[in-house]
Amino acid sequence: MITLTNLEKIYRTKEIETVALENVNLTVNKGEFLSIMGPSGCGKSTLLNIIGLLDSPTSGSVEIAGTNTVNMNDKQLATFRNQKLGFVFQSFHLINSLNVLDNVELPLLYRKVSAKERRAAAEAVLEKVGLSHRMRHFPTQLSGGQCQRVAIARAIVGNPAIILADEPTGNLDSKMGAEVMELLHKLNKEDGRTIVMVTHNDEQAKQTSRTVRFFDGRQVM
Amino acid sequence: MLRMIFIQLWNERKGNVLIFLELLVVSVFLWYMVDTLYVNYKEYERPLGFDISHVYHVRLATVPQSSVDYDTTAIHSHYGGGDFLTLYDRLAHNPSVESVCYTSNNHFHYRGSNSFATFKNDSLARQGYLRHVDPAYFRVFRVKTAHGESWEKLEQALRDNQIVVTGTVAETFFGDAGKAERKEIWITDQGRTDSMAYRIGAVSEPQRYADFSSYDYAYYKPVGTEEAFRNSSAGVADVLNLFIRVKPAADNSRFADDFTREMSQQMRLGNIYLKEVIPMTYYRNEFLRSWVDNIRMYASCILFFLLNVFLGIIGTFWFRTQQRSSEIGLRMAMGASRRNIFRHLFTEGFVLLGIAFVPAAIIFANLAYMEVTTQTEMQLSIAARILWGMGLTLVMIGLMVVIGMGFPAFRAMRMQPADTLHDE
Repeated sequence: MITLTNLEKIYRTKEIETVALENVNLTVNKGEFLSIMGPSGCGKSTLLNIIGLLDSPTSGSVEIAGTNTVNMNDKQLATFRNQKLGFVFQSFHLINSLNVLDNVELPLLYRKVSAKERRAAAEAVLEKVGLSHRMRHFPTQLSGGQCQRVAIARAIVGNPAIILADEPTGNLDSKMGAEVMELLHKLNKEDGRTIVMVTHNDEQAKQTSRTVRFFDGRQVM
Repeated sequence: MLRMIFIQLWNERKGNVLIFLELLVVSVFLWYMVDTLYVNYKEYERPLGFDISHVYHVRLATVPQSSVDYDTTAIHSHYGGGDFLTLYDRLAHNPSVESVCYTSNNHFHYRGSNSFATFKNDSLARQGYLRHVDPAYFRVFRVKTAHGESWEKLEQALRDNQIVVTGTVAETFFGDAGKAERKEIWITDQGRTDSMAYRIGAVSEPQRYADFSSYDYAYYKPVGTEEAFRNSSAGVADVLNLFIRVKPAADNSRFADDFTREMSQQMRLGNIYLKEVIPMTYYRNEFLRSWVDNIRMYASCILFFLLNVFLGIIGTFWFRTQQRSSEIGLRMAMGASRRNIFRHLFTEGFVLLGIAFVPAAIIFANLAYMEVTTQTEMQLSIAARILWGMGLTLVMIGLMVVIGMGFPAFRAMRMQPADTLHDE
């Protein structure tokens, strides 16, 4: 599903050159739930951003669903992200001036989907994550766990095959974190979605199908 | 997308209120300015009712008796009117000159020097002007009849010792130019208490005082008989104004100087001499100076308002874009292309402008209803006036929105989504 070959990411300024990722070779199979672990600054999020086409590698290739994404232009990247990838962030990244329903509809705005269909799809996924009673609420009126569930609903509303989650429970207490993890496992098992998750939590990583560890930009196991 | 932008703007209304107010206030003021300029332009665009191109004012003067140049032996020392008419003939015979005329007492086009009169009937009185001219005035100033015919009929009316009224007088007092001819009209001339009935010999096209004035009420009266002039003193040259229409082929920027030099000998007769030759365009420019200054002031105000909008918008949208960098990154992660982001921000700006413009239009309509807007007696189409004002105002503010938002939107477009999302 995802194949990274000889991936390298170097940040360059006038004075300094920082190697964020070095010779990363990684394959994620379809339907797999992969967790990525490692200390802060080891390149986990950079890797996730590159897989999510939010950042470009310095060298190497990124193949997702059989498509080499390295030479795609901005429009192609945007379309690819919109159709194949769903994102869940640690700090939710909900738009506070939009209610839950409108936030969830967001990815569908960039597809040729009618307002009626958008609404129906958003309502369906909110039902799925157990937030149908909070559709008209604004993010500031929800708990952290609820916000993350809204973010997950937004990630799956466009029915992407891959979900990229960057420390999805990082801002949540253990109970809410467990609820979110349960939801992600459900999406993995029941819907067969491929999930790549960055986490610091060993317990959560153990529950996934595979864990890869990074240290100083290198994959160590 | 548009619905979502509306929702977002509404939900962020507290943050948007200042830019909304700025757009609202500036729209109203700008509209007022544009409307004033539009009315002025429409006034300016209308026919003047006379034509000063190739027309010069030939200024004569008399040598004072105290001067060493005073000619005590001059034949016409006591009959200066005769000298004046001789000079008139000399001008008329100059090969560069197409026609000559003179007016009495007041030199009225673009000069602010007038004789007034009140036009009356049983129920109506209108203030206007009395103009003493010789019949050739209509020829020199190319004044047509109310029906668009050339000046001969107007000349003939004065020769027949009748008066010529302007189309505005005819329309107001008789309903139509055709109905006014051969009719009598009661007029009280300035300085008199009694009214006199004058027979209208012909009706000229409506005339305006100057380029930005309305059509006024005026009538033309013969300046006097030749006989009466012959017996006038040499001082007649000081109270009569001579005008010449120059043949287009002979006219150029040096004409006045060359003509003065060429004619100064011929135009010295008795104690009358040629003082100077002044193009009518000079008077026009002098007279219109205050109008032009006024228009410049309005244009400066418009520029100031536009600059205001520009700075307000660029500041506000710069701030908004910076504040919303993570939202922009998020939208890109969700599938928005850079072009989508650019379009989104621009649409947001125009939606804001649209929202501000609706109440601005209502306020302006009320101002117009209360007659606070520039007034005119022209029959301007209200719809055209509003559409022009609204259209131009929208285009100008829209342009400022485009320029003011261009840079922040361009910066937003260049953002790396990973960077903006990471910042959180």
